[in-house]
Formats: sequence, C-alpha cells, structure tokens
Amino acid sequence: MMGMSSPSQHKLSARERFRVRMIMGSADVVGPVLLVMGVVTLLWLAANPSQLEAVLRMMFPGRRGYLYERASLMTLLGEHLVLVAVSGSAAAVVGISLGVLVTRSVGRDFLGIVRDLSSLAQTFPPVAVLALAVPALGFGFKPAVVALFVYSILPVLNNTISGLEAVPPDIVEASRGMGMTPVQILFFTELPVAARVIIAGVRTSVVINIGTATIGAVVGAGGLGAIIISGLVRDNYALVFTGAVSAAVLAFSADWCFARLEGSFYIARSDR
Amino acid sequence: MIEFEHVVKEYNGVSAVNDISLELPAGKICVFIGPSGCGKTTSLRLINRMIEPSSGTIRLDGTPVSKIRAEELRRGIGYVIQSVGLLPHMSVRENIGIVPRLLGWDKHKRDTRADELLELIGLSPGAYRDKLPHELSGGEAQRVGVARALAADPPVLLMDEPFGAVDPLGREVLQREFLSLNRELKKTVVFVTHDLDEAIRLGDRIVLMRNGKVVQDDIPERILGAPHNEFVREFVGADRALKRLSCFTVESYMHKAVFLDRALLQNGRPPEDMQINGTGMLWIVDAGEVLVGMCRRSGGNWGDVREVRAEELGVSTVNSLRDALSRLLGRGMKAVPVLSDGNRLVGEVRLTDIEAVNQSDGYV
Repeated sequence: MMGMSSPSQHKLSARERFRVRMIMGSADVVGPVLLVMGVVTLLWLAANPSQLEAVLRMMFPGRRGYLYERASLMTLLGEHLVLVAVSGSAAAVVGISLGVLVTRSVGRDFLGIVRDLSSLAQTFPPVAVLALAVPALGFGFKPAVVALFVYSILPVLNNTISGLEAVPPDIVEASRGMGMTPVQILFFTELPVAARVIIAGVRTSVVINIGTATIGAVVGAGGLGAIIISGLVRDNYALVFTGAVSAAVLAFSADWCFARLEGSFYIARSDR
Repeated sequence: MIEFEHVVKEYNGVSAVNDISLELPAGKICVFIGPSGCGKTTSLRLINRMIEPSSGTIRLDGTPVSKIRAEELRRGIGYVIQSVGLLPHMSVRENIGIVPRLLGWDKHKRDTRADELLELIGLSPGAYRDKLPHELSGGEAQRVGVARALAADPPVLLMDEPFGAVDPLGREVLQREFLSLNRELKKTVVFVTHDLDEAIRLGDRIVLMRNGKVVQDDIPERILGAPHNEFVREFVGADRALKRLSCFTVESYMHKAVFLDRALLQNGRPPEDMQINGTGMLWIVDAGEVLVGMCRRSGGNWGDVREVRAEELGVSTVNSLRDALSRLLGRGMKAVPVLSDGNRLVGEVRLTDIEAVNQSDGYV
C-alpha cells in the first residue's frame, strides 16, 4: 500500500465521496469486469468469423452451417446499433420535449391525453406497429425505426413527467423569487433535479429497444434479428444463440452505461 | 421605500388583501403579523410580483413595480422563504451565486462574493462553500438562504417566516444574528411572521393584519402599550406588559451605579460613612472597573461583601428591560448591574425604572 493514495485516505469533498461511491458501487467490480470481458469477446469473435465458427462448432456439434451467410456478425451488430441509436435518440428527444411541454402551464391541459396516448402505444405489440408501418413506409429500415421509436417513447415520457412533477415546489418558488425566467427555471432547476429520473427512463427505453429491435428483421431492417429468425426458420440453434447472446451483451452494456450516467447526474455541476 | 396604495388582491371574489395603504420606510425592519389567512404573506408576495394585485399600486422608491419586468424586479429584491429552497444539486457557493449569475457576473466575482457572504453569516467559507444543501443543518441552511438573498446586495429584503422551521433555540440565535447583520447593512426588510415575540424582537415597525386589512401599524411598544382595539389587545395577549419590556434596551434606562474599588475595602467592609442610593446596593469592582462583588446595606448596616460572577449577575447594555426584570426577580434585588465589554460596570437598572416604563404612554 505504500505510496498509494487510496480514495479514503485523504479527505474527500462531498461531491468526490458521492462520485467514488457511484463508480465503485458497493465494492461491486465483478459485474463490470464480466461485462467488459463479454463485450471484448463478442467484438473479437465478430471480427474473426473463423474463431466464431470454431466456438459454435464446439457448443453445437454436428450442424451444417454455423455462420449466417448473408452478412457478417459485425455488420449485423452495426445495423442493430444504428436501429437502436436512431429510434432511441429520437424517442428520447421527443419524449423529453413532450414531457416538458405538458408540465408547463400552457401544455398542462394535454397532460392526461398525452399520458393516455403514450400508454396506449405501449399496449400495441411492436409487431403490430411494424405491420401498420409497412404499408406506409415500405419494407426495410424505415418502418422498423418508426415502430421502435413509437415503442420507446413511453418510458422516457413517463419518467420525464414524473421527474419534473417531483421537483419540490419550494425550490421552483425560490428560483422564481430570485428572478429566473421560466426557461431558466427549467434548465437551472427543474431538469437538473429531475435528470436522474429522466435518465432512468431513457435507460429503460434503450434496453427494451435493444431487445425489441430484433423484430425489425421481420420487415427486412437487418440487425441481430436477422440471424435469430434465420436460425429459427432453419432450426439452427447456433445462429439463434449467436444473435440472442449478442443482443443480450448489447443490452447489458447499455444498461450499465446508463446506470453510471444516471448515478452521476444529481451531483452534476450545473455550473457551465 | 415601499408604498402600498389601495392594494386589493381577490381570489374568486374573496379578498385576501382588502384595500391596504402603507408606507414602509427605507432601512427599517417592518414586520407583517397576524393570524393565518390575514393576508400577510400575500402582501409580501405582491411586492416582488410573485402575485399580481387585483387593483391598486405598489411603489418601490417611487416606481410602480408593475412597470418593471417581473424577473428584473425580483433580481433586485432579496427573497427568503421558510423552506429555504436551496437548489439541491448545487453547492452552497453555487446557490449563493445564483442571482449574481443571472445578473451576468463572472465566476471569479461570484465566488469571491459567496466567500464574503459566508464569512458575514458566520460560516467558514473553507468548510462550507463546497457542501451540498443536504449536508447542512436547518439553521445553517437558513443562514445560507439569507446569504443567497443578499448576494447581489439588493436594497430590499423580503422574508416570509424565514426562521419558522428552525427550533426555538436556533431561531433566537438567527434572530439575534440577523438583527446585528441588518444594523450594519441597513436593508429595507419586510418580514412576515406569526410569532409575536419574533415581531417585537426584530421589528422597527409592526403591521398587524386581520382579514386582509391593517388593524394597527405602529412601533412595537405602542402595539403592546396602546392596542387600538379589542382584537389587538387579544392578539398581543394578557402578558403584553411583559412583552412590551422587550421593546426597551437597558442602555436607555440605566442609571449611575454606586461602586467601590476593592482596594478601598476596610477589613473586608465598605467604609461606614459611604453614601449610597435608595436601592441599597453597592457594587465592588477591581482596578479595571470589572465587577467582582456586591454588598447590601439594610437597616443602616453593611452586609457581607459577596464575590459574584459578573456575567451571571449583570445584564449587557443591549439586553432588554425584560431580561433585566428577569434577573431582578431571580435574585430578589432592587437593581441589577449593567455591564459593557469585558464585564466593566457602566451603570445599573432599577426595579422602579421598570415599573415606571410600564406606567408610561398611557398604558393601563
């Protein structure tokens, strides 16, 4: 230990203590290590198809094909991430904006209706949304993004509304009393205080999105769903396994990243 | 100066503030008090346009507040509320810097100012500037709330039951600190409370309200000594005579005391021919005029000289007559010594003075 300064040895400011706790978790380093190992393995196998084939041959002996012929795992991973990133970020932007809008005095009349509509959207199975989107947008990337987008709004919207409504009225009152404009109150007070809850909504939304995006393959949007569906059709569990595990690793990593982001937010300096 | 001119505030036809006209002088602490629902908080919030009046005008140094953009007006008026409302994600220093930041001060100037104010409210900048609000005690949070209101040096301070959520002991400390603070800063303070003792302790002026109207607008000693009507009499309570004593400082009622240097005692007794006054008290001091003992004379004879602890026996010049009376009764004496810095004897207050005060001003 000589010469090393462990974080607990010198006096930490409150903010540092908070941050250390956030990063270290409750001394839980096993999860992150496993996660990093999983991601590294996945990328390595995706980049080295021959190795991937060898691994799959070991796990599922006596099959005819172990690799998806039409696209490499790397391509599929890329497509999947693009699907999630486009639909997820659009859903985050729209969900947060809508949530902000309906909690303002001008938009408060729409609070109920927006909540109902968004819950209603959630009751549609994503496949049904896809089916509805295809006639309008054709096959491919577009209908899948639209379906995922619609599907991802609710958690963000819901958490934005709950987060903003949970901001203590006295600090909004104090902010107003100090001479903040409504926009300043939103950015200096309400959003920073609600940030944690809002990020939690984005986190839920993205994690669900990564799983749901596999269905996009049904309309030819590609992604990890392509390999899963192909495997199911051909009764080839090596393919199903590859797709499912890849999607799971993506989902876990996204969840972990957003959890860190969430944890850092309440103490984020609003000083820009 | 803040002026209310026929100000009315109605909510759905019910008036919360019903035609009040007032002039609140600059540099003074003016306390709005009354039972809940009397319109005191509404009146306060009308000043910085947190709410708008239904009719009437409020002027700040001659300018109608309705003519100033609400946000701009509020940045120029300190505002302290009972729940403090520190922003939980900002450090103490950032919280104090909010209004300066809204006014466009650079970071260096804001931080310097925050440290200066922490010093002023008695919290060490080194220990407190980086704390988050949840790490502060109630009293500390409230002090920071006051510092935040003072950050941009506004001439006017609005305080809505600022010490109401602090325990009674802490509240007295905060009141005392705030009084001495404002003696220096000379802000025009409008203060809302429902605590009469607080109003008497802090107010240069008390505005007693009921059902949206001003019942009596007066200096504290007249609110207590000459209540306008039965409502005021009841509100101030049966112990108003006692409360009224809080309005007067010892300093303005003290007399010369008879004292003797310890070195002049003869065999531990005062000289037989020593002249004293009607209270029969002789104070013994040391060479530095610090009170060290006392001696009573009764029936023409000196009692024993007793050593005393000055701070236990005496009152300070800034104490009120109420404190003095409490000492008098506690000790069964006819006079208490008045001490200045370092327990130097500067005079005495007599029971007869206190009786005289209570009979003055037509008080019955």
